[in-house]
Amino acid sequence: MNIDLPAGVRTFSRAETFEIKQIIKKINNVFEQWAYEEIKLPFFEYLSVHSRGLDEEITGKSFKIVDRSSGEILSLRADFTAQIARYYSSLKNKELPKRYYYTGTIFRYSPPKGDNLWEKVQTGIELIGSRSLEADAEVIAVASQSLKTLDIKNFQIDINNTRIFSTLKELLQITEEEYSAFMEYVKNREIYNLKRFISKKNIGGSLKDFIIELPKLQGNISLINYLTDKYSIKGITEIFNQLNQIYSILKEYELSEQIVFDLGEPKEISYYTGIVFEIFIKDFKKPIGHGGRYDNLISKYDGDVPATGFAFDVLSMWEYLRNSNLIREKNYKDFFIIDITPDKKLAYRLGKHLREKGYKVGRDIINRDFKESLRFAFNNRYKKVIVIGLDSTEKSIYIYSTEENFERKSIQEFLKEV
Amino acid sequence: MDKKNITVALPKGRLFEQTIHIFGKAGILGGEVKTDSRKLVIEAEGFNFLLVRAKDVPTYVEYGVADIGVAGDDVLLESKPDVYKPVDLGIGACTIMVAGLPESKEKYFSNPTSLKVATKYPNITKDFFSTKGIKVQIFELYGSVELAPLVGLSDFIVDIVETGRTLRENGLVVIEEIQPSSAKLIVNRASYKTKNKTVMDIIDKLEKICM
Repeated sequence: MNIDLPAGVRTFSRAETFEIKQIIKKINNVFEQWAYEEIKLPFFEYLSVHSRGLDEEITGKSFKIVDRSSGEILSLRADFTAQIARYYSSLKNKELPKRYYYTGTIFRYSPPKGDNLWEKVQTGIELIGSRSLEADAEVIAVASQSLKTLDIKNFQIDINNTRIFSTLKELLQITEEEYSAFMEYVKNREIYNLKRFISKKNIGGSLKDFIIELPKLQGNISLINYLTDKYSIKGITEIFNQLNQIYSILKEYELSEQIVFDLGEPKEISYYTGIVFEIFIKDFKKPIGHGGRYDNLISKYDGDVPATGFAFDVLSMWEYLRNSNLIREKNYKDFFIIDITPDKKLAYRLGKHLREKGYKVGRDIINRDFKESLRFAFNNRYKKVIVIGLDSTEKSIYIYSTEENFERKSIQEFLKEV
Repeated sequence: MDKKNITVALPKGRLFEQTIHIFGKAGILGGEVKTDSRKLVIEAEGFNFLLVRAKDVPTYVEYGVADIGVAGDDVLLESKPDVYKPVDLGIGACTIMVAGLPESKEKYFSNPTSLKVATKYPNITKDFFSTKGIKVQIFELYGSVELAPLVGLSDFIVDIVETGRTLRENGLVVIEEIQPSSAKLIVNRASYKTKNKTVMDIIDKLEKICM
């Protein structure tokens, strides 16, 4: 009998699910401390609507089905930000700013190899309504505080401004086709191809130097200061100033140590229009989050409102936290009740009472030797086991803390203690 | 200085020797790296070298087991890994070609709608012919590709050609050039950012001698 799953999906065990949920809970607590409010978004969208906020590439990767009644093509959610842009456009009351957060799964096809999954768990925020760098800095600060809450200390936030690339496009005066080849070289950091491109296009002076240097322009604030002095290229200087400004806000948030500028990094998703960032952890080989400004996205639906946001890749974070032994919580339950009396009335009453006090209480519902029930309880992360009816008198109960060790108590005594 | 903590994935064989030579010339490595043909991991001067099959190098680098690696364009175009490719090392130069029997040339250039192609590079083949709008039936082989047109498995082959000797010896000719290929330094995206100083030092040194 085939009991296999499709290539790009997996199940998470009870313990794994618990760990992932803890991570999300802690992050969402931080989001709420910053006054972000949760919204729940649908799994399905019309492809023609959803794709307005997506790249061609991501649209291509989205999972599609046909609507039975209308024949329209539906898409499983491929991006939260596009969904929120659509949702915001639909609002009657557009009082600004809006602070939203979300948690859930996005669905994107990837070739079934390595640890590629079709379902990616994300939790993130969107801050709608502000064009200012303060908004960009707030989003980065929320991300950083979330990481600190999870005891992740050695992270770095790689910041760039995607306007570098649109400015270069104007300065180079190249066709769309040349621009996409150029951006391919930038994305792959093919320095040799950038050099060839520059010499073919007969570009000289400081613009040439800047483009060739671009893949290597990584560093802290001193890099930006150095570049501001070295280059005076129309439009680019202004971008350096912006990076400088966001740095001084982030310094107030005590994040200067974590900030790295990486000017050669274009964003994968084309809706970004300004400050963008990606979050890395030293000695971990995947980014764990990314975000940025998307001032033109909402206008693809309705309205013209600036916005910024970011999302964590929850499963990558979980992988890191797990490998680094940073997850301490286990999903313990407090009591397991085994009642060997025929009518089980005491078990019901005791269970109800303990639950009302806030304990997690399970009861054995399988008829077996009580030693077996004990083994089951401790194998399944119950902290204590209460056995009723071991004595001929029901007045005393046995409280096991391991399979061998127990205390015998009267019910009154026990209830007084808990 | 020896605390580099950098893992390098290199293809076994000639490309390994050439890479070590270039690393020496660039001043990245001070001395010889001794290879024992059975060893898969070699430690030298703070580097960890992983000796793997050429086609496997991108996998080791993409998933971050290795920080950097060396791979030819043929391998990179075939597997399209998400890695950076900052330096053209200029070694392992060859050309990715369409080849076939001389008498097949006419068929190739007479607006064919469908062609049979044998290759070790199914993705490169598909990409190349799809931009031409020609439907190809691909026969994926793992070696001795030149045999396919001789025995009638396919009309053409797509393969890398260095000197053209193997083609000539089998009576095949070049039909069309797809693109030149040479070995590139590839870098894991996260390592490029989190081990920036060390990685950049390697890139700078290699650029000085490879440009």
